[in-house]
Amino acid sequence: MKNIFLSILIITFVSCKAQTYPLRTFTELPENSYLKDTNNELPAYEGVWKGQWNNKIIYVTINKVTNKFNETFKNYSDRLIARFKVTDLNGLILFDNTNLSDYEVKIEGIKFKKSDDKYTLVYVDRDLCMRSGTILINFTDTTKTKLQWKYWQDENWVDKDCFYHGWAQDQRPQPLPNDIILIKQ
Amino acid sequence: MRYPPVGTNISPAYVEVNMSPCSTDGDLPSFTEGMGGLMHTHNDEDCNGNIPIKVPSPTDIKTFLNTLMPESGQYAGGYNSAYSLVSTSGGNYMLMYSGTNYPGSINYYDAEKLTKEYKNVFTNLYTNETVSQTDIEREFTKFIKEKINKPGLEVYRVTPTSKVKLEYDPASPNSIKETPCP
Repeated sequence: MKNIFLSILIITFVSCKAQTYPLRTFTELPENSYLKDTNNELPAYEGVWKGQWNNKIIYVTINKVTNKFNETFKNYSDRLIARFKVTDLNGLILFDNTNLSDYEVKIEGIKFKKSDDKYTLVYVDRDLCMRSGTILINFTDTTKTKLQWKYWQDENWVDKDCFYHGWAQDQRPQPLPNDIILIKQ
Repeated sequence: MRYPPVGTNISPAYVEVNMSPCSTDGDLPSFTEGMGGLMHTHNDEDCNGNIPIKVPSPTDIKTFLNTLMPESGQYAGGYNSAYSLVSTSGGNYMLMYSGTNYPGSINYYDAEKLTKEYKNVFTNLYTNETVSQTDIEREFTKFIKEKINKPGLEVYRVTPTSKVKLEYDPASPNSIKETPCP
């Protein structure tokens, strides 16, 4: 019982101390601050989104996480995370990370861009030789059932230990589409 | 650049590492023996509209620590002969090492963590409306100091006639301490 009271006291203290900022804050935030989804915009992105490209089908599952600590910036934020499954047209699974925990996901949100108000996410794939890239998403209609997805893969060195080192460029694994409209399922 | 074995009269040789047009993957040579230096560009924009960061990437840093330095140590007689130069329209940046002992490599787990941190830092920076090269240099030197944290690993901004050492220092203008080479 003593520990419970102590925990409540600490949480209350931290909550009172943490300064809260809206998602569209573009100045440097102090440590332990909280970038909060004050307008409750992020839930609209949650759900399973489907799209087809290059004879592949992608299912992107987006979730909102709340008050998650960010090691890089030493602050807390509400943000989106995403998992994906890719199959061929016959349903054969090509890539699937939908079983990863929130701490292991390969796609994590940052925040909205100031210039065009699109939501930015970063992608780092430990299973594909640390391939990385940037993703921008935005709704294309007022019903918020269509999502524009744009992905830019970073240029990268591939060393001899990578399993696709030496492969022809068009034979290398491509789990993510560059430019696609995803439909909410 | 590939160094010859120590004690031979063979000159160092340059080896081309080509990326096919509009590809994002550049294969390093399978045969890395003697490879102590690497020079490449980060273009302003790639074929897909991506804007590469105009400083070395986490993979550039990993390649420097894990490949160029050990090869340089073995073939060129010291870790100080290793270099990795990235040429961009915002400046040319070179990684070098000033220490005596090998500072340790970056393993796969650390590479993932550091790549995420780097992506977070620069993607967050680019959510702002405008980003200057000074902003990029500040974040990069901070990343090198606080995240990579290998004492002796140094970053230089180089031109054909000058070389300036860059270090993250909150007390300096723009938080970047600049030390020109004599």
